[in-house]
Amino acid sequence: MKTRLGRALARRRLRDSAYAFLFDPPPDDEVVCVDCETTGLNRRTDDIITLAAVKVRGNRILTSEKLDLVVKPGRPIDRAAVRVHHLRETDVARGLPPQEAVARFLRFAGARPLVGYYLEFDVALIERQTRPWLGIGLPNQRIEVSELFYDWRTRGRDGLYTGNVDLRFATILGTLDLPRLPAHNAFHDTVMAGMIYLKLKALLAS
Amino acid sequence: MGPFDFSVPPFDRLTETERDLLQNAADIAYFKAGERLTDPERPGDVLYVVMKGLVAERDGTDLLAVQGAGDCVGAMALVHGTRQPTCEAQEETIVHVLPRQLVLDLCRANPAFERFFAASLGDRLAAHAQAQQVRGMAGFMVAKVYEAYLHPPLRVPAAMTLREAALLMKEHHATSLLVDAPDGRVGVLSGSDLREAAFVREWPITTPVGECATFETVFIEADDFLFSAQVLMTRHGIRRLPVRREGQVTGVLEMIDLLGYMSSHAHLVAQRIDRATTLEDLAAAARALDPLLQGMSGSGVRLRDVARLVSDLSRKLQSKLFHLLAADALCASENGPGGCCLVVMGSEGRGEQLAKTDQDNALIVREGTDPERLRAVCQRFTEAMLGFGYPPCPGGMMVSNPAWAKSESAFRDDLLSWTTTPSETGFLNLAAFLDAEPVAGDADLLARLKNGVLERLRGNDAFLSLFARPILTFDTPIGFFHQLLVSRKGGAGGGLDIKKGGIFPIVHGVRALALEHGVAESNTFDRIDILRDRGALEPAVAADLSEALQALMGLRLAQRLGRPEAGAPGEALVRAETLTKTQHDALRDALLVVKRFKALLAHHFHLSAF
Repeated sequence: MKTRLGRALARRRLRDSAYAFLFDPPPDDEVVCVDCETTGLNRRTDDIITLAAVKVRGNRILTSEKLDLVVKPGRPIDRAAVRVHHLRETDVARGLPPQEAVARFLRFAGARPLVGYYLEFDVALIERQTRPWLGIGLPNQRIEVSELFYDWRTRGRDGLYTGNVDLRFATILGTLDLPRLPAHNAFHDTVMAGMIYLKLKALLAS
Repeated sequence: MGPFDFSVPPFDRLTETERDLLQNAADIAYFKAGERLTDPERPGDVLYVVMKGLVAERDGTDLLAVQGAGDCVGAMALVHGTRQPTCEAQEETIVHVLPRQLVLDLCRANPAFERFFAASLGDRLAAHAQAQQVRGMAGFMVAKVYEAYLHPPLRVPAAMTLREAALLMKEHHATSLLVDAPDGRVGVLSGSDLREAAFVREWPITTPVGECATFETVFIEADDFLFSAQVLMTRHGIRRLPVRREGQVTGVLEMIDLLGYMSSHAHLVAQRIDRATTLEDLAAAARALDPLLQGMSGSGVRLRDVARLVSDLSRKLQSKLFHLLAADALCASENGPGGCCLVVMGSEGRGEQLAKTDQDNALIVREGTDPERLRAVCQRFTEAMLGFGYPPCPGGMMVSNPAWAKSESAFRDDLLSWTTTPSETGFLNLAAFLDAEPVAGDADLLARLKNGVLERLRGNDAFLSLFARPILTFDTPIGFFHQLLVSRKGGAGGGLDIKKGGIFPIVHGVRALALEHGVAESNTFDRIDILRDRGALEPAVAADLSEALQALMGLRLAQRLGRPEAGAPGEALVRAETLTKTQHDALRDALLVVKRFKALLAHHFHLSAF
């Protein structure tokens, strides 16, 4: 999470005032779940090929207002990655230019906190677009669902807990007894992240 | 592609485009155990479909139902808009949230979806009504307002005089007028308003109608259920409702038309049959029977009454057909074919027909008339019935078969041999004959034969025991712990044979009891009632049997409508996975009744001794 000073500095670095809304106070009780499928797993060189986001308001995942974009990557898709998400070159050939996709995402998410699984990776890929273009990274608060899961698993043990917590996505879903949607589809992953977020929020509040 | 599971009925009926529509409009919501999805205070603006978890529907403290994955919650709210049960998450629950408008749009666009939806709503309405101890309400109609006859709206300005209004009503045969007030309100002026103004208050007939009309008008939307219309009429003590569609008054619903909606359809078909003068006319009337059957089945009218109505119409049809055909063959008789008696047997004879079932009919010819003279008529009769959509009887129990069209004495010989030398075909034929009812001609011919059998067999315990035996032939698919046993045999991929395991034991068991007690009626429900009155059946058992038989017939009908390929193998099988929770419970309860009844009969007729 960014410090107040950091946010103030970032705001001054922002090159396009049309995106000043990113620094507005976010609406109450709303977050945005985000997930990308990519050409590979290197955050410095690989590109986004699908970008999905869905808002969560209160206890509701607003799948009716989803963002689900196909992006034309600047480089070929790794063979290994195709096997994971089943998106081929031809499937993404007519996608949006990366900057256009990220611009739509920014307008969709606004200043809401971002929720995701291994969110750091998705944010890094998005920021590779925003930094050269807007001069800033994403100022949004970030909520990592695997961190929430870790907190819940180790709760009440006051740091005495030394065992490992299995943070694999499937394990988290299984432990929380949540329905599984076909995985490796960016939109499904956001919905599942949303369910994990809602359940852990309820569990951690009780 | 999306998170919604479209394999669960009724959503499996949606087309690709409709699925996309739903997927794009639905949200997902998460409820902790104990949180409420709906309660009576909030208007119902969404339908919940359970993704995971359990939801309890309560009315006050009464538990109406528990809904699990794939079930719809909040459906009541979509019917009423105001009153709805409290729905509470029993455990942590994740649901799809479907906006009301989406569900209504899908219903409008997709009749198959709507039918399933309306049927399961009907179930819930019935469950709801029962929970409220209002038995009469169970017969509520789930048809829509626009399906009933709507009187075209006659709109008049408020300044029109009473006399002009009365003349206008006379001219249009209208019972009411809609009055447009200058301030934009719409009022209703009924005949009794006119009477009240002119005769009771002695207002001059030049009084503007605006002063006599009722302006606190209640409206109903064309897409609302007729059920809601009746509730409104009762609540406001009125007999007509202006019907609106998209803000415009499109017609007036009269209470008389509301009540007559179902029966009037039947009435029209009956009239067509009566007026038919050629085979073509009759064939057209027979075709009109099909949509009627479809409509009745979802209507919520008691199935016992539906069956009787269907059987009545079907008999009327056959009677007319026989008169048309035999008019020239039997010209000797002035009053139609008096020298013989056309009878229907099987489910048709019992008046338990819910569709165009196999032809089971026979012709009893009076002594002295040569049956051969009628042979050609019989042949044409059976062929015409085939043309009307009545399948042939696989056992050949039709008038075109000389074995079932012969003289009274020949039938008497048959009956004697069936009762004295027990055989499987003999029992089958006897059972069919016991259910026979006259349709056309001299009913005494049948009555004499039937009474003869009843007299001969009364108290003949050994014969009755043999006759009742087949009820134990088929297993009733219910297990030791009251769970349904699903047969995996047959191509249908598993199902419950409720005809053999449920309906047959009741019908045949009651038939055997009726034979024992000399009951001449052929309808199973009537037989049950008479046996109860004569003390042959405990009142509680009798009530259970009637309810169970109705429930089983209803399930069978629902399954048949769900799968139009009638006659296909496994047609009688009910697929357990397609049942809603209410249907499942009803089936289990009904089969429990059957099982107890079988045990009772086995004891009564000493069947275990064999």
